[in-house]
Amino acid sequence: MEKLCSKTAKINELLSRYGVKFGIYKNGVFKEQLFPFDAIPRIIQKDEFDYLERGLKQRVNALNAFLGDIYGKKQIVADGVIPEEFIFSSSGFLPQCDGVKPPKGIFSHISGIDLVQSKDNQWYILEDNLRVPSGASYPMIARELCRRSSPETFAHTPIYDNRDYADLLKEVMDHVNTGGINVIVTPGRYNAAFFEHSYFAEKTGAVLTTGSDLVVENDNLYYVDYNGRKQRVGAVYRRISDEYLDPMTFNEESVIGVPHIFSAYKKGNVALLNAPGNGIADDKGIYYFVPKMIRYYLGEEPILNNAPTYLPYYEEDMKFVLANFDKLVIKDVAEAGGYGVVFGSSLTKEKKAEFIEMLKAEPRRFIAQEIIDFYDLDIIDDDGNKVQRKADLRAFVLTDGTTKVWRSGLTRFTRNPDSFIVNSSQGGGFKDTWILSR
Amino acid sequence: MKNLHFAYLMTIGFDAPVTKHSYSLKCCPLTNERQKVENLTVTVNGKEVRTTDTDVYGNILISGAIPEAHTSFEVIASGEVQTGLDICESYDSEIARSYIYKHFTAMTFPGEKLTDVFKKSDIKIIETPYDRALYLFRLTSGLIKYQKGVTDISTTAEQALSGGHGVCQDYAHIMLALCRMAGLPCRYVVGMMLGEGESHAWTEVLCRGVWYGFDPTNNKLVDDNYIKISCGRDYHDCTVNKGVFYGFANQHQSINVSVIERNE
Repeated sequence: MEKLCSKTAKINELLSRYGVKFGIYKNGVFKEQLFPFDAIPRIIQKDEFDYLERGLKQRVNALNAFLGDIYGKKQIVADGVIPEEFIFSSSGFLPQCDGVKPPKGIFSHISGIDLVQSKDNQWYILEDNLRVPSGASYPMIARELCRRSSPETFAHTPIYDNRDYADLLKEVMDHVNTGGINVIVTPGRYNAAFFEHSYFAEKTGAVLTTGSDLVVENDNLYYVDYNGRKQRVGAVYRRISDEYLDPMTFNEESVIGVPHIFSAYKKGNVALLNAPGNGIADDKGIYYFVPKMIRYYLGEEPILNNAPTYLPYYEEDMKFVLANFDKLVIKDVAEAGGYGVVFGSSLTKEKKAEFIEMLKAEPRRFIAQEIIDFYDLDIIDDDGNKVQRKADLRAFVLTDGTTKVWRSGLTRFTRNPDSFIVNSSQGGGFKDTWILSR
Repeated sequence: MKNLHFAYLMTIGFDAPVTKHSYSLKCCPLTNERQKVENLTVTVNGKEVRTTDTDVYGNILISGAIPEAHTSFEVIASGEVQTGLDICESYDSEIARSYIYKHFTAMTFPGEKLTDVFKKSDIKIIETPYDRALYLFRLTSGLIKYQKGVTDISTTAEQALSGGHGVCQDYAHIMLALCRMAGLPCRYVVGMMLGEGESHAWTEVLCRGVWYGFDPTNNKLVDDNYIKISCGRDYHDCTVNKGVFYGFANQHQSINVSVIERNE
């Protein structure tokens, strides 16, 4: 381990050379920054991972069942488990998808579930990402480079190899493929996760393409190569959001999408990973209801807990939120990437009064959570000292015929000692996640 | 009951050639309890197109593409429609679907003005859903004055009400907003009217398990002078033509509708 850590600078240099970067837009300007790697891994014991694995599978199975229900019979609403306005006035619910069944009935093929561990070693689910969760490529390539820099570390420690992610991903694409090649659709070079798109294409043998090289004819999707040769496409791992996917069905202004791809999908002629419309299940407001979903669809008690969450929509919860405002973190359900997050205690008196007015006016827009006392992880800071920082874990859960949890994950940490927000778009770093095999 | 003949003509002229033009059209009246459509033909740039596709709202959807360079895009839909076969349209799909029509969309989200109108109204003392719909329909008719050119396709119900003027689309959106505030599932309808030179829009409300049509612009209940083309949660679900193409061109769109009565 010491040896591995001594190679941190070297590994970061290699990562930068391989283009492992993260692009962000700030004030309309595209900037690429390195995603700093810290060589001290997060280590998860076998027993602990077995527990996480059971909980994650259960959660993703319930979320997939929920999506099938919401775009189908809507039984969970009819039975009063979730109030209808949480579904139908959410921007995550796409009426265009109503009644559309994806190939093999799978909605969330690749799910990124964010967890945190508290000081008393409890794991909590922080959020579900069922649209286009990114990040698996970072621990994959970091592992590759770590193995190269310090092979003996891996020879003597019983760690599950995480380089099988590409195989899992390919299996998922093949499982839902309706006949034809697999493609990965990227918005292009200036997307935040372009490195990941190209890396996955290389590792899974899928064709990396932009929307402009795909055409729909007679409700089938084709990839047109440099020579103008057309190949039928059976599965699309699309890394563009629903809104931009098809200007004919969604945002008409989209120039990165594929006109009529939604019609081909609706007819069952191509699989889209993940299915359009998943935003309704990873909405921060819906998060509150996931434990209820697990009981409702699976008849089981949730294995993994949500962070204690309150819904100001319910009068009782509103009272609690107002009484404990300073102890809570309030999140705007429509925002992502660490934006729209407010710590009650951080507000001035005026701002607080202003915020409470807004909360009362639009209770549906917010959730409030108790602040979890994070279990901090060791990192090596810029001066070479070992310090402790907040971190989370994004676990990747893949669903084909069965549901599998990748034996690794993306551990993100904040570099700012006072920050709780680990999102890469806010300048955090990452670690490899080791799952021990015994 | 009436026998109507309709012709719907839409032309887009481009001032420079465009290519790879993908389009999707919702311009075909559909047979339902109220109306029976016969001899429907649709041509795009002179070529007849057919479809069996429908969208999630049950509208007929025609999709296609013109790959080669062209400077005009002309859609003609024509046919005969027997109207007034019934006064309402049944609600055939599973009840689940009504949720979609119950909740606000961006175009129908109420602001201060709408909330105020709703609060000051007598809606609370009216009992049955149909009477409530009828009441809100009459109310909407008097809320704004008909005037062209004041609003456009992006004007919300709240904005139209605040401005005090609008066209059929604005009347329909205001009525939708009010009905949704009253908890009534309701939908936006695009169609044609006997003797009009343009397409028209009105509102349908789900009551007694069936859809009733109300035309707040003309303060009329929808009868056999109306041909329905499509419906959705608001204007944006019923866009007659959606298209994307490659090229640097300004475009100019014109729509011409003629509906005449056939006397046999």
